[in-house]
Amino acid sequence: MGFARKTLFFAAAVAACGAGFLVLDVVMMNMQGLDLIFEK
Amino acid sequence: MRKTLSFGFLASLVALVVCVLAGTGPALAQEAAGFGPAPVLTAADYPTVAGVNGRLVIWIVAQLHLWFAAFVLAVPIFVFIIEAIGMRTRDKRYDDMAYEFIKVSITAYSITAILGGLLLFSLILFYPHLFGYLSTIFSKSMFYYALLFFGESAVLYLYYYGWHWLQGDLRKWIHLSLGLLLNAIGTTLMLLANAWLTFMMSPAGVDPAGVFNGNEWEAIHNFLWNPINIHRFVANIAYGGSIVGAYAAFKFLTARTSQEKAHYDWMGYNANFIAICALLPLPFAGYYLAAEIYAYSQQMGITLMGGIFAWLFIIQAVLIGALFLSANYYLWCGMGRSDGARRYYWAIKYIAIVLIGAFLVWFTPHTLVLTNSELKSLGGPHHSILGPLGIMPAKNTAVNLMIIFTFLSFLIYRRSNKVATVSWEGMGNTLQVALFTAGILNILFLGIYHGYFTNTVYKVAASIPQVLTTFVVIVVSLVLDSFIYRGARDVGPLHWGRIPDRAQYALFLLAVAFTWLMGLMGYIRSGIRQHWHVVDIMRDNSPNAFTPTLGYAANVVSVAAVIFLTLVIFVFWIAKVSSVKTLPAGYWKE
Repeated sequence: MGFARKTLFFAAAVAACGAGFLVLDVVMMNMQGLDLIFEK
Repeated sequence: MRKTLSFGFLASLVALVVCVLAGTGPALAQEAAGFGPAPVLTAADYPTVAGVNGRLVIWIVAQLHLWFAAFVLAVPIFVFIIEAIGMRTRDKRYDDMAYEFIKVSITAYSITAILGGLLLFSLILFYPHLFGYLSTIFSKSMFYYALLFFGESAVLYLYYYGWHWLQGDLRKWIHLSLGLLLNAIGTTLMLLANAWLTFMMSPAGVDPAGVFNGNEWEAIHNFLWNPINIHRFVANIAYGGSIVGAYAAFKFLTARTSQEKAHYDWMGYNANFIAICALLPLPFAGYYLAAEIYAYSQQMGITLMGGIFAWLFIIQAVLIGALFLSANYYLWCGMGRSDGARRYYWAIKYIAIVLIGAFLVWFTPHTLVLTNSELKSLGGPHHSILGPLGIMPAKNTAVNLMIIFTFLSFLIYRRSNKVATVSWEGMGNTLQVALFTAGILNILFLGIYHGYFTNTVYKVAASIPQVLTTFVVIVVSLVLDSFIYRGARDVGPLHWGRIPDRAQYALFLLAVAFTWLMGLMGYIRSGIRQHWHVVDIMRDNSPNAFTPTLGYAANVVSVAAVIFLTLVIFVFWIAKVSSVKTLPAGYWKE
């Protein structure tokens, strides 16, 4: 795997994991009756 | 050894008799007459015995009893697990190690029983009305506690003395079952004792005057019972691991042969592994306990972390930082056992930088204790740059990073002697780095955004996804790692014993820091009741009903810690001499 493809794969993996963690954040905050991003 | 064991039985017997006389006796009388309110005391109701300060005696004896109890309750838990691993792998080294661990705890068990008896007598002597009131409410559980103590002693002696007798297929299973039973009884004992102390913090089953409604389960199952149960259970394992780690270090340093050194190095590694496994979830158990204390009583919560005791949390942060640093340092030194570890040495300095950075954030105070001139030159009680690091979101972020990077240390230690053979190793490693990167970014996002740009409700709530992120990183990474290293080949044999002596001192530091930490935090937990024996129900009107200065409290805990560690050295020494044989030539007739 070349450097560019490696970097692309890494970026995609970080984005995928990040999206997963963001879902986790939303679920956990919602379970506590809170919106994740915007303070009410 | 047999003599000390009989002391254990004696203490059990004394505890049983006293519990029956002092506990159930008044309880039966009360049941006949109905339960009265909590006693209202005056200074004259607190006996002075031989001019001794009762509070100080109870403080030190209870603390010593708790340290030993934590140790002897924890050791059988991991001895059971190690024995089961030995049975599964049929590797006798595990069985020998489990036996040696339980051997160390046997003498400690006798000391625990003796200290328990001493604590009971001290309570009856110095705080008779408080003890009478508690034994009225907890009459049944105190009685069963004493009975269970007999059960614990019997099973422990059978487990220990029957170790070599109960070997072989069926017999080994019987022995393992005894280990399970021992743990079940030990844990039940802890849960009962926890109920009594948490009742004093968050009483239940009584009306505002302290009149007991007769439902003992309600009093046991009070608001803070389970948070303390969880915290103590996890902490005991970490503590037990650190103490047997110190034992292994002691044996390593005094070992004369390379075989002995290799054995105790392996033992120390396993003990440190146990301590780290329990240390990683411990901050969360502590956070949960503190959150529940706040939920039960804001007043108590503010006293805990925002009031007089807040500065002890700075000492706590320093000690926990020392725990993390010493556990990591031991792992890094241990990498020298493998010839393949050189590949990962470069990573250590970066892990160390993160750990030290997080450590510094953790013990940065929010509000400083300052003189007027210092206050003036600083422009207020908070430092303009470092002040924001004093609040909980910064601490939560720091502790999560410390845990993730400690796990990373463990991961590279685990990899140091292996070479992966799967074709997708590179991709797997990239995925793992991506997981760590995304996890750390998420922890920082939650800590910084919610910590500094939203209100308090968000600050507190964000700690939950932070913890879960850490958990996900650890679990997914372990699963991924097990697949990457499936069928991996070893670089070479591990050189057990090839570790510098200074690594053993890291194990000592771990045990000492744990001991001190438990003493200080235990004082805080008890001290937040302030002038109450039982919060809002039974007032402490003794001349000692005041919160001492932090320096005084730290000195008392330090003296107790020195006494405890001296006794632990005695326990280690006893375990050592029990296996030494002297053959005096010409002494015995042929």
